[in-house]
Amino acid sequence: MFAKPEWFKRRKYTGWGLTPATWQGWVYILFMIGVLIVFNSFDLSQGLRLGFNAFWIFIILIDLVDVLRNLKKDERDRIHEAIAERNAAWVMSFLLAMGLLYDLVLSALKQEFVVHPFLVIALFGGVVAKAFSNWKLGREN
Amino acid sequence: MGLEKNRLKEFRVKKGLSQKALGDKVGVSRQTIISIEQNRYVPSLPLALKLSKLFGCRVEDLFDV
Repeated sequence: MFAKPEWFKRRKYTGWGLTPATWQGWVYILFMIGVLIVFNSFDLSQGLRLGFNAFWIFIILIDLVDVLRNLKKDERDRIHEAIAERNAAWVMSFLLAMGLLYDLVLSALKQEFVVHPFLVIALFGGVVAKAFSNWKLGREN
Repeated sequence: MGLEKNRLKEFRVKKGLSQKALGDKVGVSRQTIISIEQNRYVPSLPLALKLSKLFGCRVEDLFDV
């Protein structure tokens, strides 16, 4: 759409997403944020402000997905990304499982079932994502 | 598992290509070419075939097993 993939690079050391690779990337980010700030500085109705903010954030998200999809990656980048994502998934799964275990131990001690549903949903979501990925990969190659 | 050694740098220099130019020709980054030349990265079969086609040699001339 508006942003070009060559303006950005994949965030490697500070989480997920994109980081600007060129000055055009920085200008794009400043412009997108600037429009939001300028629009919100006007004395407008709550409805109009909310509508515009939602529309603009939607545009930013669409653009972000478009850049992520078209970001130039070669086979070595893909392997590095896959290994890094797998390791991140392992650490997150381990910590979620520890959280679940903590809740279960606490529940036993308190004689009251207090397991945070998000822990269970996140772990179950991971299981579903893994199963789907394996099923899809198995069908494709 | 890595390959014993490769002659990518030798072939590249003989053809008068920079690492960036070679990367652009076969669709990978300069960093990937550096890693292959330093035996730190084993290229995929399609990439090895592209390289051998570009240099007009057999894959086994480029990569030793």
